[in-house]
Amino acid sequence: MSVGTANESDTPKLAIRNCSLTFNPGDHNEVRALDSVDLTVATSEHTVIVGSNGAGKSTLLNLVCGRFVPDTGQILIDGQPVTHQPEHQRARRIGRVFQDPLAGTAGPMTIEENLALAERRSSGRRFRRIRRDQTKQHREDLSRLGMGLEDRLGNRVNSLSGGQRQALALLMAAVSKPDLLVLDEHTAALDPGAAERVLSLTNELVAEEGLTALMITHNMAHAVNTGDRTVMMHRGSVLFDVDGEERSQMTVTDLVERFRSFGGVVSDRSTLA
Amino acid sequence: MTIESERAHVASDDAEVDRERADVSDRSARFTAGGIVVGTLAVLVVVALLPTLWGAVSSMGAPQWLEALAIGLLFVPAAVGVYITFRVLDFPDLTVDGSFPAGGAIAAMLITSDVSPWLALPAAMLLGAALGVVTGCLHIYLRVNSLLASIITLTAAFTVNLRVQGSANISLLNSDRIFGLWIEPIRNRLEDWFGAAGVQVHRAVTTASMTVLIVIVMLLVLRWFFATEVGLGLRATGANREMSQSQGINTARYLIGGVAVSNALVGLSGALFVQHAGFADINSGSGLIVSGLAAVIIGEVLFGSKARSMTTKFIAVGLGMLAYRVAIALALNADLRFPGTDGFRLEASDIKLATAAVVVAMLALPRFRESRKERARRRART
Repeated sequence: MSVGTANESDTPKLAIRNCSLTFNPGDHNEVRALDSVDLTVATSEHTVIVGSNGAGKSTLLNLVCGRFVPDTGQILIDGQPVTHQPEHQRARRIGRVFQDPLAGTAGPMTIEENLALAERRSSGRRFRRIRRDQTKQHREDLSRLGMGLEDRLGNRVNSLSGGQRQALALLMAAVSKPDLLVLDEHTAALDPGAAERVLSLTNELVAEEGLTALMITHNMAHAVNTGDRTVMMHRGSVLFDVDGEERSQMTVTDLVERFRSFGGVVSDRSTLA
Repeated sequence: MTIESERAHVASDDAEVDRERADVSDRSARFTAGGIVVGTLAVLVVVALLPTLWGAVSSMGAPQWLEALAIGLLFVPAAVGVYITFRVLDFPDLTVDGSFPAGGAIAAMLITSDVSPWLALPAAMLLGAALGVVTGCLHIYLRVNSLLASIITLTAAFTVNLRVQGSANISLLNSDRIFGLWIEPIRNRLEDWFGAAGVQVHRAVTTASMTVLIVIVMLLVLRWFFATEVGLGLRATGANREMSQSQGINTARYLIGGVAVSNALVGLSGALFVQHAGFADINSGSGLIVSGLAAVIIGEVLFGSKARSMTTKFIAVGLGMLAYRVAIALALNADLRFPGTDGFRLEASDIKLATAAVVVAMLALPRFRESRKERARRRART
């Protein structure tokens, strides 16, 4: 099977092929959310997606995660088609962090229970006692966040701040090393300090674990300074896609210029700094 | 518009603001006054009721206390079932009003056809679970609102229960029941030995001692279940469905399973209850949901902050059910003497209104506190 393994190394981690999705078709509210989008992401690539509101960024991530099914087109993870696979099955390979810090964790459950929950994401759940010998590992993981959560394993997640909850959600998404880490504007709802901290944690985790990440941001500086590649979307299509040398020379101003030249409106939610 | 009239306009605006401010302080004053009036009235009512309550407590003999506790114990599985849907799954489910008589019906049917009364318990749980599955599927696959889905199921369950039972009310007095089987001989022996000295063992004692064992087994099974990966997934499904999906949980299946577990426990209560009461009544479940909720809320009020693990929460709910049944027994025993009436006794049928009122009061309490806090905050700002 040497041919097979050779092929595998060439297979992109994620391939979105010619995906289109229209909401409310035939209605006067009809919205073409995605228009023949093609995007391939290589293993261990950290892709940052920017674009104005309604550009289709979140819709694209929902397609990847299985919350929406495209009208046409195909989605492949590691070369396997997953287009119609339900979200909970796909979740075995995908770690996801939402914009809302409350969305990614279970508030009434303790920090340790939340981590135990995330650990079973990739392997499925059975009528088997939850492992109790992971406490040391949990402490170590939590101490990386630098928020003192390692001493609060028994506390309910409800009692944490937004930044702490989001950091925990990130940790939960990244444990069990997912094939794909999907970050849907995960720093947008945090105060600037917490946002910076969660972002640097993201970069650390992605780099150390060699994760393949897809990240949406409204922050133009993050769009050029974090990750390996910038994808700009507008009205359901990919406007441009830069990486490597070209990207490393790009400044925030270049990006905004480029965005405007395509008729994009830099919304007031976008931050330039 | 001339400047003059504009000024007048502004002035009138100011006046309006002033008036509003006056209104606000006036309202808060009225609220404080209202608080004092309500508080005084409450104290008066309590003082007036104390003798009757004391009368009820002292007039209730040991048999009544035991009976209240025994019935309370029989309802503990049902209360835990209500807790699982309402609090753990966050799925308001009224199916319990149908799965309680369903458990009773199938138990009565099996017992009268000379099947072991023990077998009646798992059979009742299965039928209860099946009703839960119907409600869950209606909600998940047909997207029917949870309350409506459960009302539909409980309406349909009435027919099923009647068919299973054969008639609206059947007696089990001449059949073997679990409370009689093993404990009755011991009871008879005890009365043989000590009966001459005036010792009697009340029927409620046999029921209560057997039910305590069953409740303990139930709690141990639930303790194990909620410590498994699936149990944790079930709690997560109730806490945050979106997040559970993204953590690989098939939330549809978990929700249906959770509602099934809840209704299985309610069915168990139904089967236990008919074996104690000695008859099965098709209407026995009506209003169960409200008394289950009352137990949940009483348990939370009494032990709320102390109960942290799932097991202690279940125990708190169980104690809430016991407290509720004792309170009902007290209310039924109380001689309420209102001026102008000659003695007024609560009938069993008055209990539902009273329970509903208590549940509403308990539900309103946190909201009331919230709005008071909100008012205080607004006052502090101005």
